[in-house]
Amino acid sequence: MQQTKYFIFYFFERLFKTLWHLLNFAGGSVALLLNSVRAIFTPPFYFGLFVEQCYKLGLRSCSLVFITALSTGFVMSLQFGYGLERFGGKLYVPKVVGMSIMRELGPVLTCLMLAGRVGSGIAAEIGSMNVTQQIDAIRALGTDPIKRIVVPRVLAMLLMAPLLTVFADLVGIGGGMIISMSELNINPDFYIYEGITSLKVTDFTFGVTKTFLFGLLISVTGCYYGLRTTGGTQGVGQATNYAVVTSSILIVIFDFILTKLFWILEKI
Amino acid sequence: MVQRHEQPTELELLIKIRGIKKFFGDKAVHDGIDLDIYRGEVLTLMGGSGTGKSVLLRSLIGLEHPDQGSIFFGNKDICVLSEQQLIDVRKRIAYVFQYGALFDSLTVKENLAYPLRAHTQLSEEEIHHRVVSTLSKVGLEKSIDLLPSDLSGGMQRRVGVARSIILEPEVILYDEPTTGLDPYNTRQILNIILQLKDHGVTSVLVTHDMHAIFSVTDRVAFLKDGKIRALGTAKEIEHMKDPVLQGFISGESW
Ligand SMILES: Nc1ncnc2c1ncn2[C@@H]1O[C@H](COP(=O)(O)OP(=O)(O)OP(=O)(O)O)[C@@H](O)[C@H]1O
Ligand SMILES: [Mg+2]
Repeated sequence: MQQTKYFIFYFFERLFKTLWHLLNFAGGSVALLLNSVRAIFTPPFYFGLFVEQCYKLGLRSCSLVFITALSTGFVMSLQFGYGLERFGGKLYVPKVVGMSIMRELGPVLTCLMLAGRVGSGIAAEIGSMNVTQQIDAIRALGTDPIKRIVVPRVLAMLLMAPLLTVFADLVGIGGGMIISMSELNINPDFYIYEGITSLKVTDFTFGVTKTFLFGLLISVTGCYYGLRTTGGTQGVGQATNYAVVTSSILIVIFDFILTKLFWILEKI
Repeated sequence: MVQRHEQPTELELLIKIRGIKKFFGDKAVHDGIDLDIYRGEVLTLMGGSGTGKSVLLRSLIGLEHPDQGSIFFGNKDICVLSEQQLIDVRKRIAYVFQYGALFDSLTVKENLAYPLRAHTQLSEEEIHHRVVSTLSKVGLEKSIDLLPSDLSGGMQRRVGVARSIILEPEVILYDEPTTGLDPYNTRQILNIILQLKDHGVTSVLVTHDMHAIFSVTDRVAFLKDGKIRALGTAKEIEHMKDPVLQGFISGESW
């Protein structure tokens, strides 16, 4: 009896804390986003820092995205190839693989990977700058951490998440073609022809459009947790952890919402 | 070693702190602080750990916002300025962080060039000259191309001082400038404080390390329980009868 009471109490305490944390996050990250938007449109502009972040966050993620997309293409092609073979539907492989990669797997898997690599990197870097007072130093030297630190990362992710997704789409579909050719005996000419004739432009654009939001989620979440890091190295670890978990969950949730929205739009 | 300098003869009030109160949760860190800081003086804030010395120093450039009271610098109240408006204040009042707070992704040169690039239109060549001459003031011109991680703690702190003085501010705030430093680095930093004083620069120091500081400071303010408990010249403070103060100075209590 005593124990049940304790567990119920514990459960509600956790629930309350989580909700409180979520509310704080929602308020804080929206405020951060608004401040960043204001900073984007007021001088001075630091173009060099933006380019640097595009390189660090975007280009340096290429190999990760490449491997993810290639294996996704392989796996999808294998699964659909052998799965559909049972119903004599092997020739649908190019369509199904192309569509699932462009609409869903390209954008979502790429951005989940970026949440892991980039989101954690942002939170850890800003978090350790924070606990070593470098963020304070930026302010004390009469400059703005939002402009110097947050804006370049947010803009870089807004640009690089869609670009990397386009890259992932191509690699994934290419990977699908390799397996179709070698394992399923599908002629590559047929694969490409099918792909081009059956896929619609909207399949591509909807997939890529989502990633603008995902890129924003990853960068803003990372910056938010980095900037509110307290408590030394342990705090940095925790900030990194929160940043990855929160942005991954948000990506999955917003993916559903946007997909639903896009289908509604497409049906009109 | 370093020499004591004369008190400034004519006193110009530079910073006027009035009725500062600051709470963290329901704990009052500052409970009504009044303090005047005069141009050209070296003022030391002293007090036990957790008495809010750093918080007070941070409030002076708007890194922390008191819940009540005001801090006048010229005719402006620092407590009500926005981050944008604080930029002007921060060009004139510099802050030296306890561990230097150097940007660890930038070289020593780029650390020093940072405020110049942000606030002046100097050419690359002029920036280089300014950086070298400022580094030589702290005796580190050889380290110009190193990264902060290649420097010892004392050197990092001296680079931090150099970065703070490169814009030639009127006031410099030092948080524990000598704590934990060897005698050589301590003397270097005290020398810088005295040299700047000769140029009319005002310094506000926070420290536990009284014996080093007593040789450079003009006045000392002793913080206790959120208030200024004692204020006077270094000599006066040394001879004050207050048992709490004397206990602190002799290291018997805080
Ligand atoms: N951001 C903060 N949140 C909560 N409490 C804080 C914060 N900053 C400071 N404090 C509290 O305010 C008090 C004063 O802090 P402060 O750093 O000014 O002390 P200090 O006098 O500089 O001490 P020390 O000599 O140890 O550096 C401390 O008790 C500290 O716990
Ligand atoms: Mg302190």
